[in-house]
Amino acid sequence: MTGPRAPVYIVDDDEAVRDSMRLLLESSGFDARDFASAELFLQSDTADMGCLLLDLHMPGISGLELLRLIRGRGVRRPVIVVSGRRDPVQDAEVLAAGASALLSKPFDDLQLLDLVEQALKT
Amino acid sequence: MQSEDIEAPLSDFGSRIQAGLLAAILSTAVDGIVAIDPKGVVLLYNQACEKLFGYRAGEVVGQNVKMLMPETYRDQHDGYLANYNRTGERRIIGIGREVVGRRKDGSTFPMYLSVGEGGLTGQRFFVAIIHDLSALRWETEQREGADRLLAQIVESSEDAISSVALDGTITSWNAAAERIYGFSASEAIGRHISMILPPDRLTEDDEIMADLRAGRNIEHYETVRRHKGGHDVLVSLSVAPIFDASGAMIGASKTARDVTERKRSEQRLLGMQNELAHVGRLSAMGQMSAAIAHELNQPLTAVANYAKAAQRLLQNERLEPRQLQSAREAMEKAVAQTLRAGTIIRYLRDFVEKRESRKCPEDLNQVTREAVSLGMVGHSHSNVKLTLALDPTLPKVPVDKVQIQQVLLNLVRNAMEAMAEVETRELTISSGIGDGGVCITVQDSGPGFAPHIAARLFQPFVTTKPDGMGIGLKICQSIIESHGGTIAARQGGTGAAFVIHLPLSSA
Repeated sequence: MTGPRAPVYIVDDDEAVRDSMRLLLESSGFDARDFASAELFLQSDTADMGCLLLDLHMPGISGLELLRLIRGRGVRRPVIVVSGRRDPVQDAEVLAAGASALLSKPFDDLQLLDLVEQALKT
Repeated sequence: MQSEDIEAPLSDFGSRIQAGLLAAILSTAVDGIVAIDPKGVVLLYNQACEKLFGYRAGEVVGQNVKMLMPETYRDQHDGYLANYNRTGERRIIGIGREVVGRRKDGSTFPMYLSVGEGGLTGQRFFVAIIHDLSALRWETEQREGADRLLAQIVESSEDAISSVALDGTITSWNAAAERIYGFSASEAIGRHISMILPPDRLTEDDEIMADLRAGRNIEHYETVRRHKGGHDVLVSLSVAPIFDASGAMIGASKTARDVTERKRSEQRLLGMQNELAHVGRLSAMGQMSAAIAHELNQPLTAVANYAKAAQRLLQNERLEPRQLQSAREAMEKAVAQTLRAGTIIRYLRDFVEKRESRKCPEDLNQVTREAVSLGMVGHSHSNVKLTLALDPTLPKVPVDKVQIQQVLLNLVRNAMEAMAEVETRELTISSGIGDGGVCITVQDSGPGFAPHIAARLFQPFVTTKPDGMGIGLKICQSIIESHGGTIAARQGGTGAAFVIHLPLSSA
């Protein structure tokens, strides 16, 4: 844990998943902010975002749509897609849309923290 | 009989008034009156006789009375007269008996003949009163015929028909009763009806009799009776009171149909329906397995995260009170999430468990809410506007909760699939009271169904889905019908609507 780092943003519609990810990151010394939907994320000031942990299956704007949207707006920060359901077609779409990494739920905490660490160094 | 004919014998009595009275009696008597001399020659033959025998008085008076008898008796009659004249031994005189008369046309009829003996100026004669028994005999024969017919019907009935006196003593017992209960008529009649009552129903007959006295007949009442061999027989029993001529109840007749086999068939059918419903649930769960896995992944992910977060916080050598509090909260939240996962698993287990059908009074609104939440698994991101318009005054209805949820789950998932390709996705599930029961409607905003499919929706193996078997709705229909209800599909305003109707009382 070295000095202040850019916050990790979390977008997930499942409150427990969202809250527990934030707590896991905070307990490891990261600064984290969480959003219950893509819409709430888009309404917020996310200029200081270090990286984004993004759920795919959400009501309203889906994770994939949000990813395309922010890439379209020129946001270049790393996006780690966290999904409960993986399939090759979806993985390809997600990577094509500009995701930096894919993670399946449930995940190993070290794996997540490593990915976040790397993302913030980018 | 003309008055001149009797004038001569009567003139000896000396009274014209008496003669007139006697003439009136003779001519108005309903019974036939014949007088003969000791040789059998007819002296007197009244008007009633003319009607009875068809002969006019002029044809009979002066002839032997044998002409009014069938040929087989004619010869004997001379013998009877001769015997009486000789010995004075009375066979009929002063006694009367049933004999047969012969009409002019040769036909015969039963009659009661009473004969008296008299004498006038030294001349003995016999007077016979003839009472026609044809009508009485006809009535008796009719009644006996009806009794015989009734007895034959009772004996040939497939149903056990018995009767009991007020004190429960068996008074009749037909062949079917012998077969169904195992006791012969001779074993049963005279014994108490309790011999066919199982030990736990010994008071049932008293209750039935009390009902009958109160004017309540018992029809198609399903109960259990004990066979002579000791095993139970399921019967559908109808009981009616028996009254005597004065209208007083003197006993009861009991008709029992053996429904053991029918019950067994019903049980077998129910078993097959349960089996089919279970297969349907397994199939539904199979199709939902990916969505269910995801549903379980969420709390499991949260549990792992919370536990790891707590572990990291507690590893801190200089633990601040704030961090300790945070770790505690993380553990509490982890526990809550395991319970969330447990609830999902418990619900799934209830749903796929192989089980007997159980109907209990249920709040269908709650049943609907639970089914819809399961049906929406995996669709939280589908942007469907879900509306539950549930009538809070809904009465409880006896249903098998899991099976009704299975039907609703099926309809909800069909609706979700139907709306996958449309812009506006609205799913409305409403409940209400109507047609003597409760209605639940599942309405979607999908494309509806083509008319050629609509007509065959509930036939098995009809499907619009590329990977569907087409038995989902068939199973739904079988479940709803086993509840005595109906399920119907209609093209709704913007999509398809399925309406379930369940009766307030169990099927």
